[in-house]
Amino acid sequence: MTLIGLARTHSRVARRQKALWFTAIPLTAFATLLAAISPARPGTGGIEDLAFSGQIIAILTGIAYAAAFTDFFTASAELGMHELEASTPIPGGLLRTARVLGAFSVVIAPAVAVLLAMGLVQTISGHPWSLPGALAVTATVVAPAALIAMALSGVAGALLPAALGRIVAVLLWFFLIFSSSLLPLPTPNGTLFSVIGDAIVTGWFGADPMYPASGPLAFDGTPLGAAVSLVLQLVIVFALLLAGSWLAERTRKR
Amino acid sequence: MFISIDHLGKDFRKKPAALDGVTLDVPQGMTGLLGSNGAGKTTLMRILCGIIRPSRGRVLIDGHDLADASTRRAVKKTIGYLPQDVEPYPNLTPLEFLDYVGVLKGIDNAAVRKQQARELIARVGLTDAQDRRIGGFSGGMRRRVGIAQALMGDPKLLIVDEPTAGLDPEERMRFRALLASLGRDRTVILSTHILDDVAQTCPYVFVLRDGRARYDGPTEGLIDAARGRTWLTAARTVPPPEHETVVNATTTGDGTQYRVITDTPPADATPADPNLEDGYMALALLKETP
Repeated sequence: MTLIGLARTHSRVARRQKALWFTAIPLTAFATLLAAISPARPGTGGIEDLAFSGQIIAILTGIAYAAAFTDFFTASAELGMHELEASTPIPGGLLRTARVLGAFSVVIAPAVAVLLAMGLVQTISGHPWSLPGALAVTATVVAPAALIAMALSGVAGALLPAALGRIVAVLLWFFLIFSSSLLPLPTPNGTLFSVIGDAIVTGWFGADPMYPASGPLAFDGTPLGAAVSLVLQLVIVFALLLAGSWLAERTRKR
Repeated sequence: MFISIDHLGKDFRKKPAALDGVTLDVPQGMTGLLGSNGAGKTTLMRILCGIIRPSRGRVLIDGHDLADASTRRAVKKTIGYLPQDVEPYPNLTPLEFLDYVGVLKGIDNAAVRKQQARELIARVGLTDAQDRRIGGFSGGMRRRVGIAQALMGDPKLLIVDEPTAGLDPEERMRFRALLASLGRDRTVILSTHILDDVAQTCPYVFVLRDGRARYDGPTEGLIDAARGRTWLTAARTVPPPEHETVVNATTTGDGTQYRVITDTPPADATPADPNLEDGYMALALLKETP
């Protein structure tokens, strides 16, 4: 109950960030449009379309989240709220979990709305598993990506001044989601570390990946490969959250 | 709630000890905590709130050692703390913020939290603004939200750091009256640079200087430190000599009249009844004289 109560407040705090909506809503709308008209769209009218849409939404809304959460780990210290929170009997770990859950409930909302709407349309058109499919895509493709973008933003904000952190986080997100021969650096795309869910959509939803499998850590399109990729993404999220908390704490003590 | 502090010390890396051998008994009622910037007041309050651990010594609250994790958790449920620099989350309304603090303090019943929040908001005079976001509030209004949150859960120990900073005179007087009423049945530690607030509300005072206890006793006792040493000079056109510590100065048509603390009565001066400011300055002078 305490966790829910705390998460509800942090959800409210995140929900009322105007800057978040100014970027997230247009990007979600653009992603939805792109998913509907893209020539790369599978066009099966089933789960493959949902997976494709989920990936486009994850890619584009990640830009908004990478830009919006630079104060994720530092806001409470900047406001002096960490002193007040630390004087209460709530353990720090519980509070941090509540903060993540609260923010996550907000960042996932546009994707849930769009994908459930698509799932509903598909259900009416004769695909009875589309609604649960939409939830599955949200949970396995969009959610890890949103969490990574959010945590990445927080880490950048804990390391750098907010404005610079925002730019660096967005650039890092671009690095994670795009592959370009112009940038001679290995990217996670095509591997089990892909943050846009390529391993997951191929392994669990039978969809085509955005980037073909490549490199020694290439995904293999199997359900096991999808599970491994999901676990790896969650490990990345956890590591980023820990790093962000640690960095913010270290900066505060300095 | 009775607090016993025994040889408390706190070191921070590469800095002189923030607290050094502080021993003090805090009785029920109101205690003023005085000291210059960097004297260790905030460090002491943070230790009492369980935010940081001491490097040495111990704190007993109602006989229970704060070093014990379960004691610390239990004590935290009974503490209300107003840090010096706290800005409540600007996206929340006072009602939502107090509800959040209620959850933090372990008040599980939502109806009880809301009821308490409404009562406290009324008590600090923010009922008309209870549904507006805190981000749009003036500094004084935010401070009042801070004061209200410290009272959530009806704490038995209230620790407030510069609570009246940023409040206008009317708000300050109202808050002083509120604190005095709270001090009747609980322990209140009031840290402030506004000596008048302490003089008006605290029967007991504790003075820290450079991390060490310099005075611990009745407020009247601190005032007595300046008795026989407080003088009001005649209007002068030249500043007082160095051995006379100026507490106050009033400009008149003939020059400036100084209120000074000194062991050597100035030739043109008349003795004055000391107040807490004089006592505090006299104590500071004692420390500077080896």
